[in-house]
Amino acid sequence: MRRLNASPHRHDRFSTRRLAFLTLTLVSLGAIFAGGVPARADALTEANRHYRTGLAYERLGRLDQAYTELQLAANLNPSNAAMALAVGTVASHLGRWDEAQRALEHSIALDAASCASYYELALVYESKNMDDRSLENWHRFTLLALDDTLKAVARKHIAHLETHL
Amino acid sequence: MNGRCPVALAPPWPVALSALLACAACATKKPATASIDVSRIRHIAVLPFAGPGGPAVANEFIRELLAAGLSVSQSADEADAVLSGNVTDYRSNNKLMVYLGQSTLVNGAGQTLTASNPVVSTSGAPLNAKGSLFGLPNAQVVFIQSSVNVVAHLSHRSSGRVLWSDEFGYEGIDLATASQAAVDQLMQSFFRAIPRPAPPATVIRGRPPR
Repeated sequence: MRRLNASPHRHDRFSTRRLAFLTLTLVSLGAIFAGGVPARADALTEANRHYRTGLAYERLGRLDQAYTELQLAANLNPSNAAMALAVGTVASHLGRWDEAQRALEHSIALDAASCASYYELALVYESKNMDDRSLENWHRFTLLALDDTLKAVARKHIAHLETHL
Repeated sequence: MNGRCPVALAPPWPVALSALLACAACATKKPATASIDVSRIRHIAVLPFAGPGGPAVANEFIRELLAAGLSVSQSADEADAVLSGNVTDYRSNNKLMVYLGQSTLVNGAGQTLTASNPVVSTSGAPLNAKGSLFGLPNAQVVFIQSSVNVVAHLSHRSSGRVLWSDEFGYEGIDLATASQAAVDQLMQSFFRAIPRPAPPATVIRGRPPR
């Protein structure tokens, strides 16, 4: 009965409101998309800036500052394997093994051919007595390494670790 | 007959020479520890190792020997054998160059090699990076590792005869890891020459089975 007594204009009112809501949503989404791409580009530019600064600090031996800058770079561009590797290398230099491990694992997840990441991670795992993981990384490193001296080092570590397994 | 016995007077040079050569051969074939029962070596004196890192390496040996069930002292007075040696390398700052990104390297033979984030030893093959990453020519970071090299020998206390000797070098993320691994590897070599003591017999407490 209430439906029968309802105003004939009620349906139109609801449609108008719905249309307005949809329009507003579309406009908002458009604004987000339109602004999102430059925001992403800005983030990458900013990441590269922090990356350059971090590497410059690293060359100067100011490792704490280098680590901070490189972390900022890697956070702004989390899909860059080289940045993750740089963070891991400096973290290892600072004796922050857990942070180094996380960053190096991330760099390998992003780039399965990241040669230095395998070398450094193998040493980090060895220091943590994670022999099986270390062995796996040494094997991967021997497949990718260009330097014969380091290949020989890897083979020696493999032979040593295999006596423990 | 002039009264001289030709057999007695003629010196038996070929026989003497053969006997001498045979003895020399026997002497070289004999192992150095032939007259020493190495299985009876149970008490080892660990002397301070020479070189930087010597005390840390000696402590690592003491820990490993005790864990193996041997008696250890730092004085040679009552020991069966004496363990000593040198730490010939104990460095915490071995630099490796990490080239960031896809790098093209040229080796000594002029060959061009491409790799992702290659790492190169500063003392190894001459490799030079080409190209740039984000406008940075040869973007690179230094990776630091430690290296330890240990020479060790065990000598019999009373005779002074060297019973075992070996050398091993290892790399690690820090000096502690590298020294531990070097000593661990040397102990494996040690126990191939000197038998490990038998583990103590297990005493089963309780009522004996019928």
